[in-house]
Amino acid sequence: MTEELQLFLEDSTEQMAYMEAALINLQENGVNEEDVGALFRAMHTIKGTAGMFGFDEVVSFAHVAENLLSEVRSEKVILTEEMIDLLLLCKDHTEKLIDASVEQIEFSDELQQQHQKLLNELLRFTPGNESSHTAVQTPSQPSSGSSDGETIYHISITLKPDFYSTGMDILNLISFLEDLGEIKRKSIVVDRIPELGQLNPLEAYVGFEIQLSTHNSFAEIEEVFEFVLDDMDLKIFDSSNKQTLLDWVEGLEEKEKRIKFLISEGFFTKEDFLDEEIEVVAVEVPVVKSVSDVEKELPAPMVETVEETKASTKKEAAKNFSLRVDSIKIDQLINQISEMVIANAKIAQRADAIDDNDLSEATAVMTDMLEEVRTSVMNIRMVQVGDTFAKFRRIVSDTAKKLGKDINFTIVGGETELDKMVVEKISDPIMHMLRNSIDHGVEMPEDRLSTGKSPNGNVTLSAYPDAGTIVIKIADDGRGLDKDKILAKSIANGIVSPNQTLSDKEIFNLIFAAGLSTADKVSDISGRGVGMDVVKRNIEELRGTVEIDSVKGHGSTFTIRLPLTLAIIDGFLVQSGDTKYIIPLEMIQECIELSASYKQHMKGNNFINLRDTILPLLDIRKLFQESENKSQRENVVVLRYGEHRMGLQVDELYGEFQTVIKPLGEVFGNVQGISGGTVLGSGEIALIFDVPKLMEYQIRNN
Amino acid sequence: MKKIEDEKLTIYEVESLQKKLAEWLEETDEVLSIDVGNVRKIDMSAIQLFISVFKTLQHSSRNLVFENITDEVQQAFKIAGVDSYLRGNKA
Repeated sequence: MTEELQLFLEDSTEQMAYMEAALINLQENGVNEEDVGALFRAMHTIKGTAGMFGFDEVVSFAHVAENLLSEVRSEKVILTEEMIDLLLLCKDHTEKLIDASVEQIEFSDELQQQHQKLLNELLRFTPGNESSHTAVQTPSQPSSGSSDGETIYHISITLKPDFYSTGMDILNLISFLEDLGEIKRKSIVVDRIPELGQLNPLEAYVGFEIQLSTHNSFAEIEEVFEFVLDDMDLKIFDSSNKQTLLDWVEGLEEKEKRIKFLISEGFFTKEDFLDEEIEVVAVEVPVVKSVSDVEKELPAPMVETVEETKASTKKEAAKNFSLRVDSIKIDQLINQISEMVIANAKIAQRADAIDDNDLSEATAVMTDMLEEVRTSVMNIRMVQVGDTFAKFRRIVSDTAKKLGKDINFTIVGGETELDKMVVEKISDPIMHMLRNSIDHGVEMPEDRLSTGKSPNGNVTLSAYPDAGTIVIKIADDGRGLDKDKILAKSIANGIVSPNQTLSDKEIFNLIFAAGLSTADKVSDISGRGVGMDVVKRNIEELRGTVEIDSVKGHGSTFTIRLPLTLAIIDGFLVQSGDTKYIIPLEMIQECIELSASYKQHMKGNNFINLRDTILPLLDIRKLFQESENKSQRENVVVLRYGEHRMGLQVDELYGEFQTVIKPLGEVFGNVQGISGGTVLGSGEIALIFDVPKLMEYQIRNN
Repeated sequence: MKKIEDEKLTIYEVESLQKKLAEWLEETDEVLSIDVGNVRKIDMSAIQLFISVFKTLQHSSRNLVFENITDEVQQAFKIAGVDSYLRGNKA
């Protein structure tokens, strides 16, 4: 696939996501201008870009959809639930058309049938078609004459000499304007056209003055000219805004001539220009301009009223929100920074060894700078989870519809940031869990009513940062997990033995075991017993954990805890026996010394009393069979992960260390409690603790 | 009366059209009458050319009239806002 085609595919996927988000919003929050606009723009963009690749089917389909959306946007057609459903189908269909076009696959019969069906449906809703039966907005005002809600804009167009080389015909653009509203007045400016002998027929010499009465906004009018903005001087303003008029003519080269023209053609009256300022202009005295000098310095089309500038800035902000960079480039950058971190650590260590203060200071500065660069680069990878979460709305609404359930789906904390790769990989597990919640968790409306609940089920998807991790929760207020049923099924499937005593959490965790489904009926949504084990495995691959809380009759909550990033962490370097280890810094609460006398006092117990709470201990030396401690001094590093706390018994504490995570390779890949390795400045290897796994081990063995 | 044989008068045809119009101007004493009955498509660059011809003729008190104006040409003149001075008889 060519790079251009790849870009097209990425862009259209993004546009599809905008469309879906807008449609779901419209479905949930009712019709609003912003979402209708977003929907229209997405379809318009797809049509434009598909046209560049000659994907005619996509273009013609998008064109029909765009027509309908244009009618909706100009409030000629009321957007109904039925139309939103249809547009969702159209979005899916466009996606399929694009895929088939890009892959150069012949359209299947099924796709062609769907194509025709959707086209017919779209046309049925579009006014002006014989088959149309649309709920056409009854115009509350006569079509002629501006009335409440309509603004009369003055549009001044001066073509630049090479305008014709754009391949655009200005006549088409003026026709588009006619679609936006009523052209009350229109005059061609021909004074620059020379006589035939002096004319270069390939150059443009004309201009237009147009008065347009419309419900549409400044931005929507400007959009008509979006592809030729650089090839013309364009000025659009509310013609009742006298100050803008005066400021505009002030900037014109042949001001007096243009004023005369505008008056003689009936666009404005003499009085409109009879202002203190214009009188001053008439005697050719420099005027004090009311708009800022900065604005004045801008070329004419850039000068807008404050309101217009705001609207346009907003549009720009939305346009420039992202820069597409190949993720390999970022990974490469992270890798290089990682190597720099290691090299710098080596210098720092050397500086300590030779006791060179200047060098130590320089490396300290370098360390700080590297940390800043590292944070910035890591931030490039960070994306808000909201965009991914928004996609789930469609899945929730489709699943609920299919099952005949009503679901209030709430997203909390969409602004939480997470590594893009983590977000992508966590998407499938979340989707699976949401489907499970709706299918198994939330009861049918009549069952809910009979248990005194509201007929609508509630499912909440939330995200928030917590102690260096990101927590994602999926909560429902359904029937909750049936402990007895899970246990019975697990025993029947041989997953646990009948004499095992398990805590509630352990029983709930059994749903992650392969082959277990408590659903009596297998649906195409969930209940086949495949999936939850995959969900857990996917989460663990991301160094994350998943926990379940459930109360029978009240609902369940799945809590996923994920590391912020996958490449570099702030670590804490410790030693046990002869091996150095790294503990993720954000999980450390405190470090305490374990004196020989206190150890005696412990009498072999593997817990200590920490300010009147029992803190279970895990002795790393014992766990990894390290050699005896030579220094006779021991320390306890107090860790917290989620609700759990544990003390890690180690020998030496060295302090903070920027840790570049390196995989351990296949041989050590399965060592429990170790998630990776890192290279220290000295060239030594340190192993990184997998704290959740260590805690699990500690809980299981005590 | 001079006849334009082309069906299209767009940026691709304006250079040859200019040459043709310059010749016709030479031959015109009072009124240059142009038959545009064949023209099915006309863009702004061609209209601009006609305006230039109109100006040149006006300068020497001559006039420009179109004959057999097709719907397409009529519509383009209307959109461009030149229908008040590029005038003539409809087809």
